[in-house]
Amino acid sequence: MKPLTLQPKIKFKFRLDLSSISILQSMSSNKIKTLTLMYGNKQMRYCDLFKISGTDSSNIIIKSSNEMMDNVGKNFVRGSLTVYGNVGHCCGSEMTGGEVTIYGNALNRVASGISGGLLRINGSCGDYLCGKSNHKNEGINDGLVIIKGNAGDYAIQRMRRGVVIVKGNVGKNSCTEIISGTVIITGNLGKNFANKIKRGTFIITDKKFAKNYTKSNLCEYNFMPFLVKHLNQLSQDKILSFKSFERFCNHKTVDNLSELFVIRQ
Amino acid sequence: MKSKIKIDNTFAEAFNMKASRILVTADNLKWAKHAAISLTGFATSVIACGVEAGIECKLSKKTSPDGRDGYSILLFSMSRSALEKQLETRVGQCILTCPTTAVFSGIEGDDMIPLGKNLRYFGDGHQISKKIGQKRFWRIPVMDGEFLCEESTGRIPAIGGGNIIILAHDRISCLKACETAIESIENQPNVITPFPGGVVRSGSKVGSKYKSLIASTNDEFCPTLRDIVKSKLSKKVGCVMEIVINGLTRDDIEIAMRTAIKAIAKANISAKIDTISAGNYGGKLGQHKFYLKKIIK
Repeated sequence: MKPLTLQPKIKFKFRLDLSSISILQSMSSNKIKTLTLMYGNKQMRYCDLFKISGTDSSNIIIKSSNEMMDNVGKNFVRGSLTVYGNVGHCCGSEMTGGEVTIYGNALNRVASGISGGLLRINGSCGDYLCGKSNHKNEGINDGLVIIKGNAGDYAIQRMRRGVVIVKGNVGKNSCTEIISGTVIITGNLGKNFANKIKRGTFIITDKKFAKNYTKSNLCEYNFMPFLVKHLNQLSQDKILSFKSFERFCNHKTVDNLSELFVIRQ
Repeated sequence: MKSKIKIDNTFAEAFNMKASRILVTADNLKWAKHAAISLTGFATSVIACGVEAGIECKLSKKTSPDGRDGYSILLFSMSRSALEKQLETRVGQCILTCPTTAVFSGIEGDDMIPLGKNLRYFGDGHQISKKIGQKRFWRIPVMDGEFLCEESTGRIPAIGGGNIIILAHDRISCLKACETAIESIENQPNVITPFPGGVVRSGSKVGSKYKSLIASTNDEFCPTLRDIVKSKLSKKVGCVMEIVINGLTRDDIEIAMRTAIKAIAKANISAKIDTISAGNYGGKLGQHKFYLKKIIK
C-alpha cells in the first residue's frame, strides 16, 4: 500500500489547523476526502485544500508544507507522519506515540505537553520547545524529541521525563524548572540556563555552565555508552557521539540533584 | 538417517514453563562470563533449584545494548512467582556484585517481571531513574562507578524438559557423543541445556520407595541395575547419559533435538553408540510430547 499523501492545492492565505491529521489513521481514504476543516471563516473539505493520494493511513506524508499549517502531529498516537517543508505552531504538541518527522523548520511551541513518541525536526524551531500545554503545568512528560537545528527562547520548561536533543543552540531562559529527564544540547546555551531545576541529566558541550557545579570523581559511567547507543538506535541516526566526557554534580549555590555531563565531540 | 544408531520409538515428555531472558554485559568478556556463570550456577533443575538457567549465546559489541561484550541468559521456572523471586535474588547477588556489569531485559512480553525494580533500593536514595523510549532504567551508585539495570523484563510461556537419552557401549564414547551434541546446539537461539556441561548422568523417575522423596534414580536406564529391575538396556550398553533441552517454543526444542541427534550420528564414535532414546513419564504428566522418529524425519 502506498502511504497516504497530502499536497496543498493552493497557497494558504490563512492559518490552517491540522490537528485532525491524527484522526485520519482510523479513516478510509474516501472518508478523509470529505472530512472538513476550517480555513479562514469557511468550512472546507480536505480534498478542496489538498491533493490526496495513497491509502495507507498509518503512514502519512505531507508534501510542500509551509508555516501556515499549525498543529501538525498534534495528539499523534501511532504510525508515522513525515512532513516535507516548514510547519507552523504547536507541531507535535500533546503527542502520545508514533513518529513525526519534519524536514524543515517549525514555529513556536513544538512538542508542548508531549508524553510519548518520537518527534524529529530536521531544522530549527521557535520559542517554547517542549513547553507546557494549555491545560497542564508540566512540559514534556515522556518521549524523544530531536531538533537538528537551533531552538528559541524558553525551551524545555517544567520537563518531567523523556529525552530532548538539540543539536544546535538554545535561547535564553531555557530548561527552567525542570523536574527530571535528560536534556542533550550540543550547541551554545542562552542566558539564564537551567534555572530553578530539581533533578535531571544535562549532557552539554558548553563548559561555562559547569562552573556552578562540583566536578565528580573520575570513574566509569555505564550509562553513557548505553545512552548513546540506545538513542542512536531509537532515532535510526548517529544523533549523538562523543570522545570523552566529564561529570559534574552538586550545584554550588542551589540545592538540586541535577547532574551534568560535559562532552567533547 | 544413514547411521546405524538405533532410534527408539518413544517420545520425550516436556512441560509448560515460564521463561525470561536477560542480557548481561561487562567491560570485557571475562567479567561478563564471571557474572553469567555465577547467575546460572545451581540452576540445573526446578526440583530443588527453583529455576533452570543457562547461557544462551555470546553478545558482541554490535548486538549488546550498551556496546560492550556480554552474554544472553535464559531462565525457566514452573511459576511466575518462582521466576520472579529467583531472578531478583540471582541478579542481586551475582550481577550487581560483579565488577563492571550491567543488566538488561532481553525479551518483550505481555507480562513484565521485576529486574531492577527492587534492586534500586540498594542505592539508598542515590539511585537515578532514566526512562528512554518505553523502557525505564536504574542507575545505582556502586563502588566501581554505577550499576545500570533495566527495571523489568518480559515473561513468556516456554517449554522445559525436551530431552534425548544416549545409550552407549562405554563411558568415554557416551561422554564424547554428549559433548558433540552439546557443541552442535551451543549457538542455537532460544534454547539452553541447564545441566552441568549440558549433560545429566542422574536421570530421574517420579517418586521413590522413600516417602519424602519426589524423584529418584531412573533405574530402567541404570546399567548396574539391568538384571535387578525391569531394564530398558541391552547387554551391550555400559553407560547412559541424558541431554535436557529447554526452549522458548516447541519448534526450538525440536530443532535442537534433531541437530543433536544428527551430530551424534555423524561423530567418529557413532559405532559405539547403541541407541538414542528419550525420557518420559508415560505421557501422563507433561503437556508436550516430542516423538524421536518424527523429529528426525
